[in-house]
Amino acid sequence: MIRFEGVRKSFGAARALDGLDLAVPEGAFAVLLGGSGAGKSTALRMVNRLVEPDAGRVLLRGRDVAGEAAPALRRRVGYVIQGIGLFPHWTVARNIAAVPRLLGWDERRIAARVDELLVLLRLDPAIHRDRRPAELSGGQAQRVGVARALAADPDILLMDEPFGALDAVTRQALQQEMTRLHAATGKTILLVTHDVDEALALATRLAVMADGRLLQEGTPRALLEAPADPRVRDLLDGGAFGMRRLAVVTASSLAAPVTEAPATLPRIPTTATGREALEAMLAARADAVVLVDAAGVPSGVVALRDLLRA
Amino acid sequence: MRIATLLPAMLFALALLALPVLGPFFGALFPEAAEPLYLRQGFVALAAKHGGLVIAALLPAAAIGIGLGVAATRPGAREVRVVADTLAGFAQAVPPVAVIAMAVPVVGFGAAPALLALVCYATLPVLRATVGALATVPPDVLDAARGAGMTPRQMLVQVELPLAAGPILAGVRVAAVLAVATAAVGAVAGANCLGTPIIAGLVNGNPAWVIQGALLTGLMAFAVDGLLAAFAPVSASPP
Repeated sequence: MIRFEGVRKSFGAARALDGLDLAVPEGAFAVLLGGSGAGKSTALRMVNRLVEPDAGRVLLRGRDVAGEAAPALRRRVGYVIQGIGLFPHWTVARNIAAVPRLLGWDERRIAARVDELLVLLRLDPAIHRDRRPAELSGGQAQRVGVARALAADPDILLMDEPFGALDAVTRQALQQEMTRLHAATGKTILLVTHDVDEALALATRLAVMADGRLLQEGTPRALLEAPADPRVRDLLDGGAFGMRRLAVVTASSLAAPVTEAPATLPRIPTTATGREALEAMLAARADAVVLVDAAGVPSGVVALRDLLRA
Repeated sequence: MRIATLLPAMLFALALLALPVLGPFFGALFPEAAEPLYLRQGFVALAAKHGGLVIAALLPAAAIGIGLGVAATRPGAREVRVVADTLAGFAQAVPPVAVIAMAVPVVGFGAAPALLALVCYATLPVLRATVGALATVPPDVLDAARGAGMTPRQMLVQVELPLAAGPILAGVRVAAVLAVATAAVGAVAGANCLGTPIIAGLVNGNPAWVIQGALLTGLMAFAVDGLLAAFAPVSASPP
């Protein structure tokens, strides 16, 4: 889907990318993780040609992005940034309609699409459609930012530290929202972050970068289990290695079939992670939790010792 | 539109109408003046010519100022920025009278040298306001616009100019007021305007004429300022 081949880039004397090779498979939620100066934002911005490589190339579905006019390319690639960058003189609806208008959609189709996206991002169209960006909270503004990026139904969504400026609660809510959106839309997402927990919570494919190079790429679990480089291990460990390993497994994968569910045990959704199961046990001072599906029917039970298998 | 912004315009109109009948008043103020009222041309005609000069200068000044300001803020337009800076510095350093005096040998007497000076002086505030206003457009907004696939022209027309419109119009307003005041100096080179009674009064030792011309020029500047404030959009930025 997205492939970087020997990409190099310098800004003056500073080398941002030093031969990056990376492939992002179709439909992946790929996260570029690294400290500042790792080159991850530079790499992301090359996909929609906001930055041009000095050497090497970036391929989108096998075609070099340099072969297409930049504005046309950008209109079929969603782009979300930390600063959100909503157009302050336009309403929420007009903001979301930015790319469809550039593509010349008719008004009726645009209006329908705007409402559809507001609903998808859990914003009430009747309330928010005609608001100005200044009237939105940070979390609402970034929801609009994501809706704007999705407006013309791009195959790829580029997200550059999209939740970095939000408070912890809003950030977590939007992370869950993105996991849901990814599952619902099947879009390929490339997200840049320096937040290890955010990366582990979101990524289906995790790429760790340092000094303009790729250190390791794989599933979050594979990187946690077998870091290929001491820098990967140090970054992912951070004194919370066990908890992070729990965070990348689902509680249901550790569960035993439920025979009877004692009413005294805490209950958590089947979609919860191992870490959330542990948290629920610790909070309730219980040695097991019951997994319940959306209808509230118990589907399994996870005991404290089951977590050791994570 | 608030009434207060229209007050200077009403005052100016009132003064235009009232001055012709105030001859005895000026005669009492300046008993030594043989003609206490400037009568060689009507004040309304002078004001109309003055206004015509201002408009004739303001339109090209706004076009040049905004155009240069936009050009100077495009990426990689270092030469344009140097030219704009040089122009701004020149216009600041040389007084209007000097520009008019230097222009006369080239373009002759009359309205032309005054127009030239006016365009020079009115361009500067517009140029400054344009460069400053475009610089205040948030970088995140520009990044988002570029990332959405807007062409440079679309970014300018749909995002940058609307967001910068308020301060740019404020610059045009400053330029207009400056032009009204500076246009009076054009009378030195023979331009017919509200400065004509001032020059005639100075030449003939008639302070009443000087006051009449100066009063109308000043009131006209206030009137233009008020009118432009009344018709300027409140603000392109959110409430």
